[in-house]
Amino acid sequence: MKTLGMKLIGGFLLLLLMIVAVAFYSSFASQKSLQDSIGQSSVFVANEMLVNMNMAIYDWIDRLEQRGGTQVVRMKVEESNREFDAMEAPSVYMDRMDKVWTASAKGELSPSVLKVTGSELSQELRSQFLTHFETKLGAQIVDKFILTNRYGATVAALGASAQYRFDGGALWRKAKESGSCAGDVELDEESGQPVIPLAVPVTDAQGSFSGMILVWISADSIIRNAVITYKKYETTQVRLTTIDGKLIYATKAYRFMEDASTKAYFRNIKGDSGSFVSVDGGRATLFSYARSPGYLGFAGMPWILVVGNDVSDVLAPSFALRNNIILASGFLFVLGIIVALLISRSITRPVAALQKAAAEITRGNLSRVIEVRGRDELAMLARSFLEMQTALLGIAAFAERIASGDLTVQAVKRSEEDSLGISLEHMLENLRRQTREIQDGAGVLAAAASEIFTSTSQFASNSSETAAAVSQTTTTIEEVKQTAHLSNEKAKQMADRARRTEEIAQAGRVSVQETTQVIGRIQEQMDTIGESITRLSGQSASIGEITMTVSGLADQSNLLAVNAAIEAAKAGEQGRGFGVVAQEIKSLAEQSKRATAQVRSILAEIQKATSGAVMATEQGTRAVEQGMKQAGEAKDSIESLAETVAEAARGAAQIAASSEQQLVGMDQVAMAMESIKVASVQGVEGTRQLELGAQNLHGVGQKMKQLVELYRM
Amino acid sequence: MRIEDTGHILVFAVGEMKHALSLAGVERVELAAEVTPLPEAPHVFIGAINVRGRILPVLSMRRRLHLPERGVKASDWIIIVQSSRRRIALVVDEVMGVRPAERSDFTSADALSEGLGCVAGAVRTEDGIVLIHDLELFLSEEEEMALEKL
Repeated sequence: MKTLGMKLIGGFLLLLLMIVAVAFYSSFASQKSLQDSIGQSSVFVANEMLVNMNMAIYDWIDRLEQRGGTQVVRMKVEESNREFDAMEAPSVYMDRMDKVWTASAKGELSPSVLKVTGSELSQELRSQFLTHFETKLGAQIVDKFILTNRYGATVAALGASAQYRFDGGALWRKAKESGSCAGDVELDEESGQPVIPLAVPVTDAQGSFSGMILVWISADSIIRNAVITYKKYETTQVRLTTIDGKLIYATKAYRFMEDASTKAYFRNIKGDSGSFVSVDGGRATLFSYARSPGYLGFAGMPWILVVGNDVSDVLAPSFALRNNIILASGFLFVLGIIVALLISRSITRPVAALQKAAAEITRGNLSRVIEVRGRDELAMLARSFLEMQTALLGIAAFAERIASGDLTVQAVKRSEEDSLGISLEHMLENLRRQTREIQDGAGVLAAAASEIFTSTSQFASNSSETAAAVSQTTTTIEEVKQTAHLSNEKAKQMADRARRTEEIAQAGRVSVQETTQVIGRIQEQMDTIGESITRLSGQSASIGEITMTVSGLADQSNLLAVNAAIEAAKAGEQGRGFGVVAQEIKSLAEQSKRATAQVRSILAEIQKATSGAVMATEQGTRAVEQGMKQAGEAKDSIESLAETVAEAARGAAQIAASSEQQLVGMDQVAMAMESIKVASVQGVEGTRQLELGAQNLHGVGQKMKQLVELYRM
Repeated sequence: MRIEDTGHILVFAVGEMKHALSLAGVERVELAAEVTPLPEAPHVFIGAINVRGRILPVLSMRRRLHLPERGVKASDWIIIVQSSRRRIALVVDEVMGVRPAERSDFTSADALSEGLGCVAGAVRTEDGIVLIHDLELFLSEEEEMALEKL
């Protein structure tokens, strides 16, 4: 309500503001155009002042050209020229003279200087220029007058001069080259006045250069004559500067050649002419400026003239207009606010009542009664509002019945455009259908939840078992790992042993070779022994034969002895001695016999021993052969054994390597198993939570089923 | 034959026993030689041998003394004896030699026992007790007869 009133007031004020803005804009526009027009006129004025100055200077040049052509001047210059032409070194002379003149300026008046300044010509010229203008214009305009010959040496001079020679000066040379010209303003040291130097060449009868007139005229007299003629406003001020901002002249207090290039009125200068507003001396000032134009054949002085007027002075009418507009705007504002307040009150009151009722409806309160007065659009709005309130009460009752679970209620559609009614109808249909679906779904959900609950319990117990199994497996794997460690150690030991065995086998091979050699030697010795024994046997046989012979002889001797004994016994006493001899012989024969018997028995022993030796030798030989054979076999066996052992060693090394890899693998398996174990434990935890969730789900399913059964269809 | 004739005996061995003959009947001794069998001769004769050109019947003392039979060996001895009737060869195992025999050492067979056959008696010598055979009683009547027929 307040916003509406504020809007109305705001609208009024906006309208007023726009009007006031237009008024202000026109005030500013008029001020601007006034400023422009004054600025422009000031530019014209500035331009005109400059033209006046140039014209005055040009007049002077023209005048000097007229005077310079007189017969007297020409004659005197020619005379001096001839005098100088005759000199061997005029330049040296001029330098010497120049020093004399400089010295004379300091006080010592030299006769040569007096000769020139006091010459007839000088007197003539003095009367023509200085005296003439002083009496005519009432002021000393010409500050200094010098006449030089062709060489630049002074021929005649008016006024104080500290210089004799001029051919070195820029202005003298420029005038000699291109005719009469003016130099820039400068301060004359002798008079302390700003002066403008002018140079005008003198020509002879043939028109060629023969001398130069140099004149310094007072700048002030030229400028004041041009400026004084202009004074429009009280605050008007004029400034004249060189192009690089050195102050030449000002209507206010100034110093000659003061640097004004940093001042606001000089910094804003752009182009040949224009105007601008800038603060000068604490006051807003309208400045207009112009660059010096030429005058006829004269190129003009390189100067800039700036005219300044106080803005308050110049724009006074415009400011008065603005003040009036401000006063009128204030009055309009007050009036506008009063009117806006009155209008807004008549509209906002009934709207506020409606707004309150609508706010109550928004809060859900449909019981507030609105009073209806009048016949305008707001009354009609209130009536429609009442109808809407009634319709909403009907819908509320309808919703109340649905809320109580009665889905048999019929929808009340007030028109084909009754989107709320249609929506309620759709809602009712959807609610019926969804309730049916929810009932079905709840049944299914309850059953599924029950099944899930059962499965989850089963799963939980399974996962517990799995975790236990995993734990066991982890332990087993740890044991297997230990075993793998052990087997790895064993494999390393085995590889070591295999290497040692290989070395031993190598040693065995060497031993077998040595054995074979030894057996070979034994065989040779056995052969020798066999031969020896065979020889021995032969010799034994020979001995046997000899023994037999001896035995035979013994037998014969015995026989003879016995027979002799018999004969001796028979012979009686005579044969007694013989019988003793026979007895002796018999005894010897018997001893012989016994000896041979002994020899025979020894021989038999020898023979027996020999045959035993032969047999033993044969057996030895056979044994040696056997040994040889066995050594060969042993050699083969050891060779193959060495080969096998080498293979075994390689195998053992491979086993050791494999075992190492297996060990690494086992470590990885153990780590993996540990991860599985952790995961399994987490799985058990998860399953426990899942079980809890399933239990909750089961409860929810049951509850939902009960809730849905409350609906009547 | 009597012992006092010579006073010496020839001692010989057959088997375990030692025997002796009176040296009076002993002609000589020989080494064993090849014996040629005599088929018709009495049992105690094992054959005949040639001794210096004479053929003599060989009597085996083993058979005579009823000792176990064994063939003639090279080491055996042959004693050539001369009885009153004839000359024969005796095969003995070994001849010990000639021994003196004193009368005091002699014991007559009659003093020993009756019916001892050819044994005349026993005498004690350095070789121990030896039986002394009587050559005359060596052969029985039938043996003598059989020899005569040859």
